[in-house]
Amino acid sequence: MPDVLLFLKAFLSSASASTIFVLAFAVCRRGKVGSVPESRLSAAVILLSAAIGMFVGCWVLQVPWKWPLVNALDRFRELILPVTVTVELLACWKLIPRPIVWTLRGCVALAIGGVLFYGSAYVTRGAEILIPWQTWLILVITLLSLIGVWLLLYRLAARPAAASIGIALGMSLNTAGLVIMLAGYINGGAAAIPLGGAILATFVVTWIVAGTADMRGLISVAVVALFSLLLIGRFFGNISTTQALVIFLAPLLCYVTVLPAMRCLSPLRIGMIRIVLVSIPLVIVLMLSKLEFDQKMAPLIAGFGNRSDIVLLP
Amino acid sequence: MNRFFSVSTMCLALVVAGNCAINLASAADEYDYDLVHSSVSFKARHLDISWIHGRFNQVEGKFSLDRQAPEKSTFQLTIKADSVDTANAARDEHLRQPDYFDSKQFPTIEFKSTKVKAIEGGYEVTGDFTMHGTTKEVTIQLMGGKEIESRGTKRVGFSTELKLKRSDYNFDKTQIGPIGDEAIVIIDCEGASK
Repeated sequence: MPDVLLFLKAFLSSASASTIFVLAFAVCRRGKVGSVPESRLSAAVILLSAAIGMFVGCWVLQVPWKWPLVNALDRFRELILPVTVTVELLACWKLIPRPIVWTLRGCVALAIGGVLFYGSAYVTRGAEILIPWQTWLILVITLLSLIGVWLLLYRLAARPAAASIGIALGMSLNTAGLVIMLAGYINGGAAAIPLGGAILATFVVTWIVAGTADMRGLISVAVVALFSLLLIGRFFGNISTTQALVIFLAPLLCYVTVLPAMRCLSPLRIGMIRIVLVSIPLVIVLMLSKLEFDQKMAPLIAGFGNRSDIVLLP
Repeated sequence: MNRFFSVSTMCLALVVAGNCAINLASAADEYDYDLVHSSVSFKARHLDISWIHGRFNQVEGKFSLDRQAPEKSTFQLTIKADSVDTANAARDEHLRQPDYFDSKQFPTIEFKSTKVKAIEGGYEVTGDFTMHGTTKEVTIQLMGGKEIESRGTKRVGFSTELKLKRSDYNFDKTQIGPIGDEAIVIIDCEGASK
């Protein structure tokens, strides 16, 4: 049964934990910002802050840590996410050559589809939902879209107001969670809550206390998390391809700010424009999902006084 | 010449004896699950005051029945989790999702017998029941087994009920609330011989 209060608590806990960690670091290192080693350290701390926030959120949500990993959500939470964070932490270490970092990122991108589909009816012989070439086509298309969005946002993050890209990704993550939940996969949607809370808070606080810090590592983690959740929501839950695509591609609207007319704006304005632009399709998708939810679930809730009671029925 | 005949006779006798042995060993009748005249349904408590009923529409199975040596009989059933039907499309869609059957990850629910014993009025069948990626040994009382011949096809029927707890099969505990943990699976099946 979805406990809205618990979800809110998890969101706030993850956001608070990340905020405290970023602020504590900012206070400790005050006056040392700017040097290259400091920039790498900041990037690592930004990642760690978000990771701690995610962990706290999961703890509040009482997410059971499972072994063996039985479904796609377990594999995302306990395999893909930690591996991505580790790769991005390694990327902050100056001893690791860039080509190795990019190779590792490539491996993560390549592995996601296979890891999430592992053992499922999409890839198991005898249980075919799709014929093999269809599965391969899906894997290749999704991989290309992941690489495309990842590279584009990574590149944009080198420009001013990088935190706003992260905030856009955080908003997309939260929207993905809500849409997946409204489509009936409650645990799948709930998985986005700690991620969305931690990522949003980390980017907002970092923007305030150290606007020029390197945030590309956490942006990579957010892209991978968003992609994985939407893949789960689409192929294991019940969200539509259109919903998944709109949510995944919405952060690319941040690119509008590279138009010549907007380049001269202040980073704050650029950031605000990005956030407003990205929020438009996200709000539309969310509203349509809510309408669909009301339409589909209406017969189920008939006779019940409380709308939250729909969960009484499968 | 005599020696030739005696060797030939012995060979013939051996072949006949071998055939008899093979026939004895394969005395079991093979049946296919007849989807048209069978059903796998279930019910679970709702709020502990009423029952929700549902069924699975796609089921396959086969069983071999050895009436002389029942312990050699085997029973096998494969249910497509995606075919769940509770007479409400929205609810069925919800049930297929990972919070419940997770039918994309675990497309089938299976039973495979490991031990069969004849009891009065049927068979006691022990086997591996796999659902939601978890396998547990269960014992069911398969009542029936009467065989008739209809339009040249041998038919045999069985009925059984199986009580199981969703929590035993790795279903998400947070989704066990208003719908009771325990479900009763009712299998009425008819087998048709090949």
